[in-house]
Amino acid sequence: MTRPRVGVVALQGGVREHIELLASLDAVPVPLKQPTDLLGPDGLRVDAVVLPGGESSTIDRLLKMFGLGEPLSEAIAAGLPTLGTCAGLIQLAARIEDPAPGQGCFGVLDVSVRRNAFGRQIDSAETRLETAWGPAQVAFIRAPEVVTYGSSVTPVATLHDRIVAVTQGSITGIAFHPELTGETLFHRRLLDSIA
Amino acid sequence: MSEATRHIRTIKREIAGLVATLANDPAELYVAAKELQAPYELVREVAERGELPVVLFVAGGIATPADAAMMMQLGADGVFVGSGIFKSGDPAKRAAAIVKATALFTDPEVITQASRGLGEAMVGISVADIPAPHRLADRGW
Repeated sequence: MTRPRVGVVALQGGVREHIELLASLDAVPVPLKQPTDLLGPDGLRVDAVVLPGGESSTIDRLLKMFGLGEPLSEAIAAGLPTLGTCAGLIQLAARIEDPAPGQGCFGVLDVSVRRNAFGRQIDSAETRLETAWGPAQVAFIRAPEVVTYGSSVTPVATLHDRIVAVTQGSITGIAFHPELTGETLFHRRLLDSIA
Repeated sequence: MSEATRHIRTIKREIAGLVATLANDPAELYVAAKELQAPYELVREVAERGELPVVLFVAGGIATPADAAMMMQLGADGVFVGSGIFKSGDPAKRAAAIVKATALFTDPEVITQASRGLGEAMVGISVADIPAPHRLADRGW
């Protein structure tokens, strides 16, 4: 089998750590900045996609500015295996409780999220999380939380009784950063889900 | 721009120097740490990674999308642009163009496109004309 090509939205934020983690798992990371990085003449150029963390309103602005948001959102809605971390989860959500002025989201994952739910930068912490898929060592940095979710969504992990990881079909959204601690659980699952 | 270019080239050169020191004679890193007045562990980390453990932003005279893209090509993680935007003819348009050229800095076509129709650019300021206390390069030492 050829090595899977995994797009990593590369407009702002923690891009490099995802690229390094995917490469270590024998996938081919593909930085995505423009629509042509995602779509070629023969259709999608990637087998899966990762939306990294960063400043969610900035990423949303850049996705619109470069025209990548719309085709990416459509590809994800059509079943492209997807992992969104932190700001990536916010981007996938159906509703943001406290958006920045003008901030939108894809609406492909049936959840509403609240930004900075665990405090500010100074409240960042590394923690061992018990998830439905096993333990995971991860970092929380200005992490969002899932406030409400639809019937098609399954919660995967909680922290202090707040939902921090969910899955819905081919989409997984997590509020934290596994790539900063070298935790491979979520990326391995993403690669395994590629048909 | 000459200032920004000088800064990033100096930083890159000195990091390369630490990498070479680690390869040739690791014990010399203690001397480098002493001269830099920096903790040995930090100096060693930079030598091993070949980069700083923090993001590297560059500033100083960046006025066009091409300036910003060049800084990224020289190895910056990002740029700060102040006067370059606010002292130009159309700040909002120029800011958007610089953002685009910074994010897509490897694409000459995008940079060319972004550079068109921006109006007046900031006129460069000679470093010699800036009073010493206002030169960022000398602060913090």
